[in-house]
Amino acid sequence: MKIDKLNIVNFRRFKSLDLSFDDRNLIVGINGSGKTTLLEAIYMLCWGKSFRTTKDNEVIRWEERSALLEGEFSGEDIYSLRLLLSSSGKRITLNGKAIARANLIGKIPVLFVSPEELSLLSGPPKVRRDFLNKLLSQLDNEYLTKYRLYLKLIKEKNSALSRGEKIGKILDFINERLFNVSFYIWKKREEVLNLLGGEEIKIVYKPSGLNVDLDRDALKRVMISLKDKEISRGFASFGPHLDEFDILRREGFSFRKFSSRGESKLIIWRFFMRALSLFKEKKPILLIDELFAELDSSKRSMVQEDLNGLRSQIFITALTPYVELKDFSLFEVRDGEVRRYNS
Amino acid sequence: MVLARSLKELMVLLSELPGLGERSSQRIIFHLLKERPEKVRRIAELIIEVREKLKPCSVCGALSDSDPCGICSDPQRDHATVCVVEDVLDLLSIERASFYKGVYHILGGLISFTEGKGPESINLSGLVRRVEKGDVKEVILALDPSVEGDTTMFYIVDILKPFKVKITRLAFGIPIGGNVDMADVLTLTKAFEGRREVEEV
Ligand SMILES: Nc1ncnc2c1ncn2[C@@H]1O[C@H](COP(=O)(O)OP(=O)(O)O)[C@@H](O)[C@H]1O
Ligand SMILES: [Mg+2]
Ligand SMILES: [Zn+2]
Repeated sequence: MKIDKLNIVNFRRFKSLDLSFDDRNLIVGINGSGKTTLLEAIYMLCWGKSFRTTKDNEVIRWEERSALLEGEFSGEDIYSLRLLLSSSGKRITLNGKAIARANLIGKIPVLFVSPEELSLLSGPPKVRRDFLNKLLSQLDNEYLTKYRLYLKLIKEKNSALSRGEKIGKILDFINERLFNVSFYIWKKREEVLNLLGGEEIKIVYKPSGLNVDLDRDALKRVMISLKDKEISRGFASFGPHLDEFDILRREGFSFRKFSSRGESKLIIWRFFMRALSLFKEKKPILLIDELFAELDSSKRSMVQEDLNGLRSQIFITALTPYVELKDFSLFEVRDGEVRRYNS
Repeated sequence: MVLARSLKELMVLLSELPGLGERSSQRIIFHLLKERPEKVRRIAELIIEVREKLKPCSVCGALSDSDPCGICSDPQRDHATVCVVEDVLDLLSIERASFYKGVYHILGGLISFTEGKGPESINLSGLVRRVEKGDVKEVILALDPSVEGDTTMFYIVDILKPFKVKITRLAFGIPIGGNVDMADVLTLTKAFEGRREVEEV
């Protein structure tokens, strides 16, 4: 998919912008000019939430009461999408019809890559789980439905456990349903992680944080064996919300200890390239923030080569225009305005 | 302009009702002010009447002005078949379809630990008492296919296990999230016709 037009009103530092984009777009500007904000606006239209904050209203321009994003998209489908943020919440409108965020996800897949993504290698397991959830939800609508059901059930289970009364029987009912949903999630995650591993990286998947194979009976035994512990602790100690997976060097060592920052960046880049290749029907919009900084010129040309082979629409931000990106349409952000250079 | 005390208080009280915000309660009040006085009086009387005179039926739990309620005391209905529903809205929607000849049992809610509502918060003991007597042959669980509906369903199956009563659940072809009280006549009829015995869990 591709965003052809973007209209922004009162979104972070931008008062009002009307932009048209091409297949390849390079956004330059000094620090604080609003480059990341432009990526954020596109991301928020496609994913329904920001990548910078969980509080939607933070993106509303200071001193203003509402923010508006409007985009026109083309490709496998044609969409006109609107996202309005105000004191009464978030309203998403697709082709003139109000829709729930769950129904937006996957319509226009989007991937955001930035140096922050290095935390996929070194950060806590939650970072990796979140990444996986975002990827799978956009790849497969059923995953999103099942995952939401899972969240609801695990909340119900934790609430039941926190009552601390005799809930043995009810716990069994809830566990039974949880297990089926969990197993689906585990299978899907394993499937995708197998595809994400490759020549350079090895992924070790630990469902529920355990060193076990994804075997129905074995996992069920674990669930049953944990029941008493869960009752005495008062919260769930089993399930996909405790999943872990490590991204390791081929030989099984961690990147954190054995790689330079530049090397790690390239690894993350390759990881995202593999994630991108999983999308068969709709190609995601690729948003790349400041990736080129800290990459030496040989690594930059590797990335450039990867970019050349992509069918996705691409947005890259940088402090200055890199020669490797001379084919890109150039936008400059300055003083709350965006200027487009026709090359 | 300073509003009359009564007007102000009415606005506040009305706006606390479900589905009514400040704006809509104001609209209702100013509409009532233009209505015929007899009609407004009738509305007020009826509100008091439903609140004060209606009591839960001691058999099924439905609010009624007689005890047992009209359905429970109707000899034409099949008292061996009890349809368990969450609330009166579900009962009304099934009655509207007018194919069901049995009686009801109203739970007055569903089990939801997330909302702090455990089994003790719904009318289960009344159901057990009815089944215990031995006249009930079939219990139909007409609960929403949701997390809460399923927990409640499992729980009921468990507590009725000692009584050898046939327990069935509606065959909901409607997508997940479908509600009994929102279902149309055709969907409901089909859901009843296709009901299946609940397997043990
Ligand atoms: N809600 C907001 N209203 C107005 N300005 C904001 C808001 N949020 C952030 N900013 C401003 O936006 C700028 C940061 O934009 P950003 O997109 O991160 O810049 P860049 O990526 O070009 O470095 C900062 O100057 C910050 O003060
Ligand atoms: Mg930035
Ligand atoms: Zn009754």
